[in-house]
Amino acid sequence: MIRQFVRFYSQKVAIVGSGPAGFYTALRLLKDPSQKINVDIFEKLPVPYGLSRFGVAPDHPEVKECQTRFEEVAHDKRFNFYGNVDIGKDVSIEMLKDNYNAVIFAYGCSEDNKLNIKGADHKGVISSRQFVGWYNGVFDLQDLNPPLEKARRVVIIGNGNVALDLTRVLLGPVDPLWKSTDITAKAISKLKESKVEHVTIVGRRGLLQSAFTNKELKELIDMHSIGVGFKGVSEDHIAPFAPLAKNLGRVQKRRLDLLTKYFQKVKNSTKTACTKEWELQYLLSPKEIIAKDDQLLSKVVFEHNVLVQPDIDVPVSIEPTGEFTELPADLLIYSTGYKGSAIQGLIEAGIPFNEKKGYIPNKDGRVSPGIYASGWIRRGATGAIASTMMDAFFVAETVLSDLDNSSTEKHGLGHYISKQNKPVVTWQDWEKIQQHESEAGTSLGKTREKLTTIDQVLELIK
Amino acid sequence: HGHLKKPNPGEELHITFITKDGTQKTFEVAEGDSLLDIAQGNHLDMEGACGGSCACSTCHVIIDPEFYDEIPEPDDDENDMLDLAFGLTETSRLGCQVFMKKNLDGIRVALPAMTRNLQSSDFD
Ligand SMILES: Cc1cc2nc3c(=O)[nH]c(=O)nc-3n(C[C@H](O)[C@H](O)[C@H](O)COP(=O)(O)OP(=O)(O)OC[C@H]3O[C@@H](n4cnc5c(N)ncnc54)[C@H](O)[C@@H]3O)c2cc1C
Ligand code: FES
Repeated sequence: MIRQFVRFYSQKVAIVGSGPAGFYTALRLLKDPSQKINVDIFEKLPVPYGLSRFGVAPDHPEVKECQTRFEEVAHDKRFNFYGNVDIGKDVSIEMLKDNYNAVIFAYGCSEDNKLNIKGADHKGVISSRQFVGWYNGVFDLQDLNPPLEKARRVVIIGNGNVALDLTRVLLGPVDPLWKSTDITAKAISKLKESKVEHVTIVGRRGLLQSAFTNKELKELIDMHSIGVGFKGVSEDHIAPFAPLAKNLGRVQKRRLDLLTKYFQKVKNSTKTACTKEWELQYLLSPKEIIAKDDQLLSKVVFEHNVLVQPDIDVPVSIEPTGEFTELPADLLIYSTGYKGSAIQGLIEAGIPFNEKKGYIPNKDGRVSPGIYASGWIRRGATGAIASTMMDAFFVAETVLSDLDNSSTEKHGLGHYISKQNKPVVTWQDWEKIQQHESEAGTSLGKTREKLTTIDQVLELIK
Repeated sequence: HGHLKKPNPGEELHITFITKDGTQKTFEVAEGDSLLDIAQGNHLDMEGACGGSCACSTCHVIIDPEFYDEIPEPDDDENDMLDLAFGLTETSRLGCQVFMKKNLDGIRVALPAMTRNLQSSDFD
């Protein structure tokens, strides 16, 4: 009986953030066309898609293919997009709670895990979030202007795919690699002037612990055919594992194979002429950064680590050895992960937040009655779009199963938002922006030329 | 049925999907269709987030061991993406890289279940 009554009203769901987590959650919530449900997505920026637009490497357009699905969702009559609405500032969390049957936080992780060592406050020390955001057109990072025209050697700290993305950007020839992608025109002209010729990727732990995927590793290794050589990784890091190969997991076994095969190939062939080069270094923790002048660095001091594994079923850890080494570096980019933060008013609204690890604590996506978390802000900043999608689907199922039990009618905030002074970006507006960007791209021979200031975007949709 | 070809009469191949909730669904399909196209054309739960370009692993399927060896081995690119698939098994493949052939007539494939069981974790 009650069920029928509930179905009479349309359930109102608010999603905070329009990245892959927000959109995949919406997609699953709206999957059943007969479900009486309305989904409003609020996005702080005047453009959607989060890190699919602002993080994913410009030379991997197939990864952004998920946006085609998001467009389908956006055309569902039960869906609304409200861009340029910063939840916490423009609309309070209390208001969301009062006007929706469910509120789902999917606002991602947008802070750096800082590098806390001596000298890290120098201008030549840049986080990967800043650097990636700069070339991908993040509005408030357009003034970064990294001094690539002066730097020859770059050290990257961190061992994930983002470190490999950065290496491709720093070393890959603009023609053919970047010129026709959606990387900003400004970044392209800077990369054309770049003097960077050597990148060292440094990991604190060992080769087998590195977090990048074999696909990305192989892609970078294969760049020797376009003049970017792989100086390799010391045999010391590979040799000890060869006898263990049988016991390694699938991913590690394939990584070892990949590197071993590569070295064979290099040994057997006359080396192709490469003007640029990259290498992998392991078991080094950064300790101090030494500056040359106010723009460039001189070197980075590292302490050597050893791997320790007291027992076979205990994860490998590292121990410092007290021995030090130095790597020359003009610039240092640290790619040591992202961290979530509490948006304004979150704590005051009684929503728990784990400051140390940077995520919203939850159980199966449930934070408190009617409040949910999805994607990176639910689990911390790990995982590719595929795992963010699985996560979002899982949370959406949780929300759907809870919605049946609620019976109050809510009206959402669509009406309220459109009466505010601040311009709101609707999906129709976004389609206009999108069209403008792809036309601008076409005239430059690129897939897209992004607008890089918020004013430009708002001017266009006036 | 979107971009699925209609099989010529008498040349229908059969494929059974075992969905996440355990139900079996059998379809008559044409030679050359990918498992991703078949699943999407029939509205099964398979995302195919990268549009079938072997770059996302959201089309992961588990192949009936009886048929696994009938399918040409995965290439390096597919193996790279399988590395990232949830709940990888010995007979896992990517649906966008497996195409129907005569020798696969009658094949059964399972869609991997969600990572966690909603019911049990609700009560612990
Ligand atoms: C540099 C980089 C490269 C990557 N490359 C790949 C790749 O090649 N392949 C792959 O599969 N995955 C890749 N990933 C991972 C992928 O981007 C993530 O899995 C995914 O974006 C996480 O989705 P999310 O929605 O949780 O967070 P996000 O994508 O960060 O989305 C969060 C959204 O919330 C918005 N928001 C924040 N605060 C507020 C607020 N107060 N009010 C309203 N809205 C708000 C943000 O503006 C943003 O749009 C990459 C990640 C990074 C960092
Ligand atoms: S659809 Fe992306 S890997 Fe198959």
